[in-house]
Amino acid sequence: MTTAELAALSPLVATALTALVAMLLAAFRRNHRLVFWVCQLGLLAALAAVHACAPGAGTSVVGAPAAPLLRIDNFFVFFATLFLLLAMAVAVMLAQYFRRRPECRDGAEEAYILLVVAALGALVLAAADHFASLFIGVELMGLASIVLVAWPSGAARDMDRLQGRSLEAGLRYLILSAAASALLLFGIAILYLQSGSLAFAAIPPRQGDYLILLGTGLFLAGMAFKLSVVPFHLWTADVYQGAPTPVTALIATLTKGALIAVLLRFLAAMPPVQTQAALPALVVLASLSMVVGNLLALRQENIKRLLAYSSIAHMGYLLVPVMAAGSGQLSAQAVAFYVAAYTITTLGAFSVVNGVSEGAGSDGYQVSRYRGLLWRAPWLGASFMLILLSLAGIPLTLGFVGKFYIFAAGADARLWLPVAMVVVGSVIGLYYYLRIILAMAQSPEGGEETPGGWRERWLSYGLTALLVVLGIYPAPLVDWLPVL
Amino acid sequence: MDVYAISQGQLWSFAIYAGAVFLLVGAMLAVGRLAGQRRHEKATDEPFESGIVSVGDARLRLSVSYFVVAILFVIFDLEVIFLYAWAVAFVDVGLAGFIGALVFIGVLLAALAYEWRVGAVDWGPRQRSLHEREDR
Amino acid sequence: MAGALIGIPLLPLLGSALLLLAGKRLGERGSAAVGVGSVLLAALLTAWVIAGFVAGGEPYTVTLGQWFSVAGLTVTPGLHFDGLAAVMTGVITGVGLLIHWYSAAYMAGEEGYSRYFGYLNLFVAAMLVLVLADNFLLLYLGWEGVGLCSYLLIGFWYREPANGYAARKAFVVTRVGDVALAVALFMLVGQFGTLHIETVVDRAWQQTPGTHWLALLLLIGAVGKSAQLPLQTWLPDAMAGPTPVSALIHAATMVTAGVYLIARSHELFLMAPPVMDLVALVGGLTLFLAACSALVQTDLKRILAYSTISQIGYMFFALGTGAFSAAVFHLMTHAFFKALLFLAAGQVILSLHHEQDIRRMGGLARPMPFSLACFAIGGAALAALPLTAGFYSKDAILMNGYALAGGTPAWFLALAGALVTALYSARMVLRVFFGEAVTRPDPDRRPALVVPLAVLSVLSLAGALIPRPLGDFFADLGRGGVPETVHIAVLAMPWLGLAMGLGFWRYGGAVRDRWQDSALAAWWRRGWGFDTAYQWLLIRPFIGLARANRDDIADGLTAAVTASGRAANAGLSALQNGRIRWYAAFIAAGAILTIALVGR
Repeated sequence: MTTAELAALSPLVATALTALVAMLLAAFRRNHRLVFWVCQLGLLAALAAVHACAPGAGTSVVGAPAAPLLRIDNFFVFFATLFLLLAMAVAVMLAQYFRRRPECRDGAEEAYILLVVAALGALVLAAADHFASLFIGVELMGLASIVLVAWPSGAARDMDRLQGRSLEAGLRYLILSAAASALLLFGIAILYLQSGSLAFAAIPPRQGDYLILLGTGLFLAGMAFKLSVVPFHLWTADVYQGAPTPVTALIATLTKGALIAVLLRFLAAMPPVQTQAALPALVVLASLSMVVGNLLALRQENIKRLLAYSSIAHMGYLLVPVMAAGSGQLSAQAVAFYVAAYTITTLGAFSVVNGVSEGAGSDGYQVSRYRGLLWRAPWLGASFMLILLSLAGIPLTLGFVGKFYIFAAGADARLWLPVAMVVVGSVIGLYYYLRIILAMAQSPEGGEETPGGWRERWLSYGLTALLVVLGIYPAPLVDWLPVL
Repeated sequence: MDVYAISQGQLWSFAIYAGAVFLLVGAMLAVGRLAGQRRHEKATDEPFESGIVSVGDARLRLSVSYFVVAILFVIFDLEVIFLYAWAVAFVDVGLAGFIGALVFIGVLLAALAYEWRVGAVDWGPRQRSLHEREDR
Repeated sequence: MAGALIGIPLLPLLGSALLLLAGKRLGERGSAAVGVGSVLLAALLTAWVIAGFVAGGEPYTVTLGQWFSVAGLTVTPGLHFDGLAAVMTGVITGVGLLIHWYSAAYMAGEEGYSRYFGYLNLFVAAMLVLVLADNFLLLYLGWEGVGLCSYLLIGFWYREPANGYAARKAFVVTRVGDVALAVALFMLVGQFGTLHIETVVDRAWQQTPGTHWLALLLLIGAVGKSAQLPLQTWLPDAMAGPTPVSALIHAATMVTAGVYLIARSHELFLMAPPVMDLVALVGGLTLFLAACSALVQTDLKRILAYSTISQIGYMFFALGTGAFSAAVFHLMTHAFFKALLFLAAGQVILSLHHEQDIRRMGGLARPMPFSLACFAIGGAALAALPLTAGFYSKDAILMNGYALAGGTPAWFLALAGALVTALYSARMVLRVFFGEAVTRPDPDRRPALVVPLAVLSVLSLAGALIPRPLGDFFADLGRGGVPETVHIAVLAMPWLGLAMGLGFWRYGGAVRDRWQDSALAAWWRRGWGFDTAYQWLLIRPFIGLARANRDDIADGLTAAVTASGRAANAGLSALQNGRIRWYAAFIAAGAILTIALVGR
């Protein structure tokens, strides 16, 4: 291992060290504030490492040159930056969550540690160019998030209804994602059988090789489950609903973003023949996701379930540029931009939900809870409104620019059916986003206090400002988009 | 089975075999349903085990420390597997391998220290978590 | 000169803007000063411009700059001043000034005083744009502008629902004509590629097949604005507005816009002889039917309204026979004497505390001699008795009409109309001012009310002497001779009508009463049943259709989309049942689907 390689790996090392240090700290001195700050500083150090040690325009390969395990290039730099910032934001949300729910604070330290571990998994995925690193990344991220989903049940002393639901969600996630991992592994095994290598690029460009097709199909099915694409979506709403809101934000953004990144790398590295073969499956899965996800959200009254269905639809949108992977640089840029836009917007949405709904009793997650929010808390309401408009892809928000990129990439690759489905999905989607805005604009029924002050809300405001500023002037983000 | 036989599309034998399996299972179920007598009495729904009425519930609560111990076992078992591999290639991987193994063992040690401090190895009936001890 | 020409419509426009934006702060005095002052300035400017034109004698155009240029159509609107424009602007600013002056006193103490003057100034500005436009599009702007002001002023007392309905009716009925005019504009663009009036008129000589349709559409537009058959029904109801408004808009100026339009584009009409005949026939029928209706009305203002319809019918008749300058002549004199009659009627109505029914009037000669004088002069001019302005213009119409077209049915209708006109004029004056007094009047002799009436009285008598600088604007059509008998008949008709009126008044009490109660009179009173016919033919079917389509049929499509969305939502939600084995089954099914699609 050369020094250059070690330098390139430093973000991963820094993240792993952060987890270790935090774990030892938690073992010997339980103080969740201390652990929080250690984790934040560690993630910040990793972020600095990403940029300090980033290999200019070229790529740095870690592992055997023929079959690199990790590829540290500007694609990695973009996604690693995004994931590290995301993890820091989720840590802030967790801190807010624990402040709101003191009964769940037992073991808060481990929550931060698991968050860092999940971030490490995401970093590995952002660099993965090999099935081994892919699987390590997927499982690192997946197992950490499973524990986080079931969090309140493990830590809190009294079991209320919500905790039962968390446990149930965690167990459901564990079992189903184990099944999906099995599919993934089986697919990888079959591909290995035919190629003799675990590198993405090593898949032989043989047309009509049934085993390769079978392996690709199984691999895609496993990935589709983790991305919660229709028809693998059934777990999504239950898990989103059961998990603590910051964890929901984590699995809605970090997991999805990292898997999309690695899927894009996989499809771009595969021989064009095989990418072409995978196309119909991706088209069908994406189209189904866009339509079914939006339809499911249509009359949903629980805001977390609604956002879960919305994220299913968004994964459908994201698959459009992903399937254009073989056809040019626009695809990678569109994916990167949309992931960034989706991450900022979704984090914003969940941070508002975290502030408004958490600790508000059993009906806290109902849309009716948001009734009159624009009058009760004008700033928070306005910021949630902008977030929802961004999710719907209305101009002057980041979501619009992202959708524009998707249209551009889809049209560039002549994927007319998926592009048409994006339009249909967006139209349906507008309905339920506007329904929440409508509820927020109605006159408040009175008596309902909106808890939380500036301390609870600055993250929401910051993310909203970011999505509006970048929505109006996206050039800084655009300039920074990676090429694959 | 020859891999290429499948990839060349010669799936006939496999398809026939699979079809036969489904046919057989389906036939057995159908015959049982058609020929067997159907009655519903008090004992029909009870679990049947060698003529003995079952006792208690199948859903036992296992002590959490059982899982902790199991996980500890897996951790150390896996460690040994990796270290065997390292030992075999000790000369080839040289110093880098040695450092790698040190890191690996260090991480496992940290994990062990954590488990220990948290109370995972305090098994037995009087197990207490760290917080309880601090509360005391 | 160019600046002055632009200033003519601009001054009232500025006055209107000031009044509508800052009217509340101006107060009554300020509003009156701005409202009357702007029109006064415009009138002075007009006088100067006309003087310059008469001295120079050449028509000229002031281009206002390019408005837009789309698909080969470049619109460069400008103001054009020639003989016809001189007559029209003179009438509009002159009569307009007198009526503004009168209004300042008439409307005193009314709510919305500044709003009233704002609308009235806007009207004057729009009307001036209409007559000065050198481009059909600018003309159309003015055309719609006066329609809007008419709507606003009819419904000026908007708290009374009936006024609102009347305003709506006026707006909707004239809209029929406006649509035809708009279509005519589209056709002009299609045929000539321009909307410049002079260019169009010049090219009209190269007869194109569409000219007939074009002329017909312009006629429909004119008929709507000028309340001619069959779109005349709105004008009697338009009397719901304040009386000076009726005088200015619904007698002197706006309703003559149709006459102006045909006169302005008369070359086009000359290329379409059948349409010319239609114009004459419309005019003849309208003047006769409206005169008959005027004969039996009981509301003073409605009498004048039907009389206005009838007199504009004379103008249309004149236009249709080719006696264009006679039509414009009558337009001017009619503006004088009809404004006089309306304003005098306003004074009477004001004195009787807003009483408009002539059956509750009578014997006003003694307490209100000045009003009697005004009415007598106006009525004489309306009946076309010699030595009044109306005599000369109506004589010109009937004589020229016979000379140009001969004894057509329309001409005979016009001749009969002259008799009926004299008859109802006599009835009106006698009914209001003589006989037994029914109510005690409370005469109002404010100079602001009296002076305009005096000026208009003089104009109604001597207005025929005002030179009309039309020059050779209207092509001279060869005319045949007029037999002496015809001339005698024309001269005799008003006298005959007057004599009949006096006779019925003096001796025919019983006949009169029976006649007033007859079915025929009732039919005429209802304006020949046009409103009823429209009610059954158009309004009820339309309302029926609207009722039938209350839940918009096209909404069904949208509703179907929504319903299918909901159904799909329900179906898909049912899959979310929380059972792990069910979810796992879906994973398996999805994996099979994916593999099948990849291995396709």
